Amino acid sequence: MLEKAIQLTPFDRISPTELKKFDRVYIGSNFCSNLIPKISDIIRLKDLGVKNITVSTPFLTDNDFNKTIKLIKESLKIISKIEISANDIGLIDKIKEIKGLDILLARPISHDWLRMNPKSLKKFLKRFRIKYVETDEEYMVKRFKDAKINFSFHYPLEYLSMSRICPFERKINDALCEYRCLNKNIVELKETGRKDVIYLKNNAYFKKNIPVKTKNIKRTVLFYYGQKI
Amino acid sequence: MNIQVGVGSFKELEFFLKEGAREFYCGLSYIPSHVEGTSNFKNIYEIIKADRIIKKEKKNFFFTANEIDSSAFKKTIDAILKLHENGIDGFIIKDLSLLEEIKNKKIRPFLILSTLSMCLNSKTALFYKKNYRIKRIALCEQITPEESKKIIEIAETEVFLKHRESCRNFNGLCFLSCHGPKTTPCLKTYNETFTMPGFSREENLKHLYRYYKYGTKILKIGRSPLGELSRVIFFEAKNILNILKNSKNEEEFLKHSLKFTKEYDKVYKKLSVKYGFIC
Repeated sequence: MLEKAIQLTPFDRISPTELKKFDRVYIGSNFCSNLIPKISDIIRLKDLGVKNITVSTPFLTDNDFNKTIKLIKESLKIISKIEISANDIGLIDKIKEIKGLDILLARPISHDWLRMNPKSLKKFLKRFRIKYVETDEEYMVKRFKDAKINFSFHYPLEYLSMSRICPFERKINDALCEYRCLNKNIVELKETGRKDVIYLKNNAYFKKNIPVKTKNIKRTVLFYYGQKI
Repeated sequence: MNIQVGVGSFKELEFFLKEGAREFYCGLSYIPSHVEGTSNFKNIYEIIKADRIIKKEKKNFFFTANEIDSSAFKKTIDAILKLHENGIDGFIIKDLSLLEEIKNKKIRPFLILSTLSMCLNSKTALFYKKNYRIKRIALCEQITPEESKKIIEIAETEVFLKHRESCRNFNGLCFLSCHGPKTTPCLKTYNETFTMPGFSREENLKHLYRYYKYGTKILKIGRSPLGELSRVIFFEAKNILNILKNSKNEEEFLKHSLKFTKEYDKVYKKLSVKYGFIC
């Protein structure tokens, strides 16, 4: 059965009734290190009755790496089973043996891995105990439809680009963040004289996509940006 | 700190050898290597010939294969084996599956982890070092020298002359419609006033000073699709290294290098008009 999930940042507030429409909640960000959740965010979700939690993590500097390991260890004291959506190969390698942990290969690094030859890809997914490959690329999902690789599909925003120099703060992510991105959930960027739109959310740029239905998609993940659910 | 420069022809190689570059790297048009439209040697035999010229000068030569493309996997590994057999110093690699295949072939070339590999922390650096004998890491453009310190302790490192050659967003994981220096969506203005942020020139030069102090060994000049541009960047890099070596402190380096790079802006401006790229 297709699992339905929602992706939240630690600052998103949606009602418990709306949360109940989903089988799973992703918390954090695969793009911004200032949006790595705190243990209190995990506790809050647990208190709201969320049973299945995925922690989204970005590329990590040494400082963020240690914070993330600490978060994982603390989370496992509170809930017996947790998923980590990870980009950083150092992190994936470090946590692959931890019990009670499922690992997802996150966007945008999954974009690269999906361009490997399928034989190598399968080998790496097995070696690192990766449960699902996270993607937003319809083309790649269809390409692998017979390869026995399972995906979770993110929508309605398909990743285009990201920066550690925050487009809202205009400074690097490791600096003290004033979370200016939260004042505007999503910004439509249009180049003068052109029709196509780029969407800016936190520190990453996207275009719109729609969920696809294929047998290897085991989960859809709605990227929450303040829209009506 | 020494300069490594990308070359795509014997003419370029001769020029940069004469001008004192310490290391060289190149690609082949049929092996994916990230830069669109850049000049490449015609075939493996030209690269082997170029390697012999470089070896005579006791300098180093690397081959880059730093883009993932499953359809080119076999061609890529065949090229690597052939070049290794013929004595090329090493390879610049991004793809895990390619690193794994090199390991399986039981060859031990000097491996440089491409800047596109997103190695942002020392644990990841160690992962690559332990599993794939990575000797050097091209530091990700999006981290600071302070964030790189532990990586620099683990492996040799190299950096680009970032105030001239760096992407605003994560290079290698940017899928904006960019096809070389004439399109660059990251440098355009959106909604009349919005531009995608990057490090300022001052920050980039400050970074260079600190990378130098922390022990980064190589300043890298990319393979530009416009040969003339590579030469200008090379001369700028050479002069900046001189300022770096002769500055008493960071403040002095910044003062002189900022003034110097502003002079170079005029040259880039002329080239941008000539070739139509965004500067």
